[in-house]
Amino acid sequence: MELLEQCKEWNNNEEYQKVVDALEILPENARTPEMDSELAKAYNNLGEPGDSKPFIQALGLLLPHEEYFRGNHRFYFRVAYSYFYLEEHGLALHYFKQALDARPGDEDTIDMMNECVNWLTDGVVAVSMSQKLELVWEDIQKEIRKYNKNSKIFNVRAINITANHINDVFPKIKINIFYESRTIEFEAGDDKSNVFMLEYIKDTMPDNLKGLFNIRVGIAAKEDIKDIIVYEDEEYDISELRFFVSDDRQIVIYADEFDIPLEVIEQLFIDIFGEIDLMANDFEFDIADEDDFDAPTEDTCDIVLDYEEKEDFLKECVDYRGLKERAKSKGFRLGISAKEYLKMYSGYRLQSVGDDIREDIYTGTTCLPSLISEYISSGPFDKMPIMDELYRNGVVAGFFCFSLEESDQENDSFEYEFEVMNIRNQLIEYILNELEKLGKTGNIAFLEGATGKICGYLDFLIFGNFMDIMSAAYDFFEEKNIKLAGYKTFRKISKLVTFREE
Amino acid sequence: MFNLFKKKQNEVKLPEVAPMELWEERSYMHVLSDKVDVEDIDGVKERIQAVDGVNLKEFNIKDDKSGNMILDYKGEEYGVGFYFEDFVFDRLYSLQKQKIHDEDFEKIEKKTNSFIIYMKFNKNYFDSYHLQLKLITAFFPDTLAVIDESAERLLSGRWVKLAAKSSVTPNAESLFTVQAVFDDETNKVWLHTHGMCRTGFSEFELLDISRDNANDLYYLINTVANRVLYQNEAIEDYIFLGEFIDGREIVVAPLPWNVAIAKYPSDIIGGPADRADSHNTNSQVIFLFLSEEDANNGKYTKPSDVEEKLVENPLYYYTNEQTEHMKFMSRDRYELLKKAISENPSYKALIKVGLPTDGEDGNPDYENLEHIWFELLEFTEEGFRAVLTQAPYRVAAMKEGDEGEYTVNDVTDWVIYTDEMSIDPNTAYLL
Repeated sequence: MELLEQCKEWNNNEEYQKVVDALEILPENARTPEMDSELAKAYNNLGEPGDSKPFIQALGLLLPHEEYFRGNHRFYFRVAYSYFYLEEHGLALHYFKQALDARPGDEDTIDMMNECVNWLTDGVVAVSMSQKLELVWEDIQKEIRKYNKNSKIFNVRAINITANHINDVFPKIKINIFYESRTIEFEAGDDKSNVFMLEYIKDTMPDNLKGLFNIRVGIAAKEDIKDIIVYEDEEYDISELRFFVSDDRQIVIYADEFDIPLEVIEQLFIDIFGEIDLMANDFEFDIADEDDFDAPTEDTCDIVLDYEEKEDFLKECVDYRGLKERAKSKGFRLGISAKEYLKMYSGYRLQSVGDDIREDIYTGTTCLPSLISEYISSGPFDKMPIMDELYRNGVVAGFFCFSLEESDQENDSFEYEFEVMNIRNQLIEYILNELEKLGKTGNIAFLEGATGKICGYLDFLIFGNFMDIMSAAYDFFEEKNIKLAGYKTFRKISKLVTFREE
Repeated sequence: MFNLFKKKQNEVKLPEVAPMELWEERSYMHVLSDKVDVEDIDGVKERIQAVDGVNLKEFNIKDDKSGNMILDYKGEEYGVGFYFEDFVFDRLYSLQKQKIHDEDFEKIEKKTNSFIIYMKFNKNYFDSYHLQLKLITAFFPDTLAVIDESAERLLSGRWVKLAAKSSVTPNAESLFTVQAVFDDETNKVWLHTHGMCRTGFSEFELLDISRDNANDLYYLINTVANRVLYQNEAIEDYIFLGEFIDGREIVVAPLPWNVAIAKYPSDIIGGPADRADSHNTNSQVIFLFLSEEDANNGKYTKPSDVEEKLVENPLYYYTNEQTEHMKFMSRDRYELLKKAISENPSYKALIKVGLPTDGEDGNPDYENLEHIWFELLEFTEEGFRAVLTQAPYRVAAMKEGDEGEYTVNDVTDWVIYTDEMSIDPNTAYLL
């Protein structure tokens, strides 16, 4: 019997270790995708709930072959199964759905999908971010205590231990260490949801560690920027670049011949502004070169087209050293702390498309626009990178919804919107009061909310005990005698969990 | 404009690209037949088990005669679902149609019930599609017509039966259609495909084409879709599709529809207004790179800007896979050609033969064949005798009017001219 057939038989006979023994010894490139898939099945079956390593190994074997196994039920089911036991229920659901598409009506798959939907609906994460951090900080303190406080390198050790422990639990966080200033810097990455999580980590740092080092969220702006930036072993001279800043906060970067990769520009902007200011201002930029003046094309940006002479344009430009000041004079908000940035919100208007929960919204504000965008544009079984990352880290993203008396909106929309906002503010106050008693007000971040034709909404991120917050909300709605109230996580597939329904 | 982050950080972005519909992601087909009318699927399990190459592993059916099955076919496992549903004839008017025999069409008009069979294609989508047709004929040997909902096309039951029993899979053009939407005011056309998404690739589109040139530019979009399907490879950045008459290469570089429409005036047909409810999922609009410099600088040219070049006898490359497929199908259905000519001596037939070209060493080069049309004179015991209709470019010893005898193994394509129409191997069901 061929090895692959033998492995299939062992797997069918639940002799999983034999599969592992037979296939693990083969070099990676000697295994076919089918063999990797059988080995992954064996890992999946050897893994116990709560035991992440075999499931991670299984995913490592399966995911590179996603295109190869396109449309293959077994492949999708195995991937989904790994994610399910890694408690990544959003991704598990996505792959179970693919498995169901490949084998319509399959009862096992449907059962697993229902399990996923229940998890995603309840919103109760297996281990919350606050629980993870409690353990992390405890372990860090325990380990630091082993070392002599009077040692010259004590702080260096403390910083290294902290960075390592945080990276163990949150491997996606990129950490920079500045020993001289005793600072651990968390890179903010490319989404504001990271800033919420990183600030929460920072806020939960025990007082006794605060004396040893600082935590900074977001790469800081640099004081001393050199003319040369090195990228992929190439040197790029940025001193020749010229920057135009428009009144509507767009930046045009000019070079006679533009041959600088965008990655270098990105690095330069981070060095000049720092990550948080970049996110907070979130400006657009364009590039221009001599050709745009000599022979403009449809790709030439409008700002450049407004100038007949290149010299006139250049007169309005500054070099990279003057960019920050120029940006400030044009209305960029600079020097914003991560905490301030989290409170910044923006408004949105939607075309109310139905009576279902959140489909009725016509106006809203949010401190986390990317989360709302992801929710609006996703299908019920889509991958949701922002939600999945929050969930992976033990953070629940969702919203409370509540409806007022029917007559309220009909009578006066201004009055109705005011009342929705009023209830929202009261609910925030009520929950924070209850959490205050537990000393846990930081366990929830309110993200603003929305107003729909049927319901009002209050959006949140929960980092700590979910039930503490839901109990408080339940009591509030009971006291207020609101006729319909509940919560839902930010996934189309999750159901509304009702506190009250008359 | 560039943004440092892949998305705006401080604005709620309303969705442009919508999730695919079920009938886009999967292959949905609606079957019409007399037995469908009475929901008679007795003996279907046995018929499916008897389909060549199929290993039926599970067959589940509910009281309402909906159900699903799991089967192996050519080494791959498939899951297939099915159910009966009311049928409304009106819908057919919006579909592309194969040539349907008049007597069949009269029956189709009266149908009120359909049988829906759906499945997800895997990477071997030619086999997947072929399997779906085989299952249809196993469910309903009396299939009258099939509506390929994913490609928005009405298939003749006769074609379905011919394709199902053929040893060669249907060709790439069976998997998709190219539709044209006209704007009478501007005289412009929007060409777009349907059916590609189920193969795992995107649909393709051409925007803002002049009505006068639509027929010529059809070949551009058709060739792009064929290329992707035969090579089983999505277009990463661009592909070399052929040559303009001046010898310059035709380089196709598609862009996602939501990016592409920003490069056109907003009021064109196929513009934002036409994307609210449909054509807003997985679709790419075809652009061109006119030079290497354009490719390096990401300078996209609208095909509508170079229409005059695109209609002036461009040469589109066929892939080896496409040529091979054509060859296998023409040989597989060679007997139909033979029978049709024998029974209808008035029909004319052309047969394409692959001739070995002159090698550099003076010997015939059997690796590089020149495919050239011969007019059929007669069938012989060994094969057929035919006369060359044009002078070959790379076979010096042959000229127009030369006669020769060839076998089925030399055939790479054929076409029959009846009094009313031309019939090729793919449309041999019309014979």
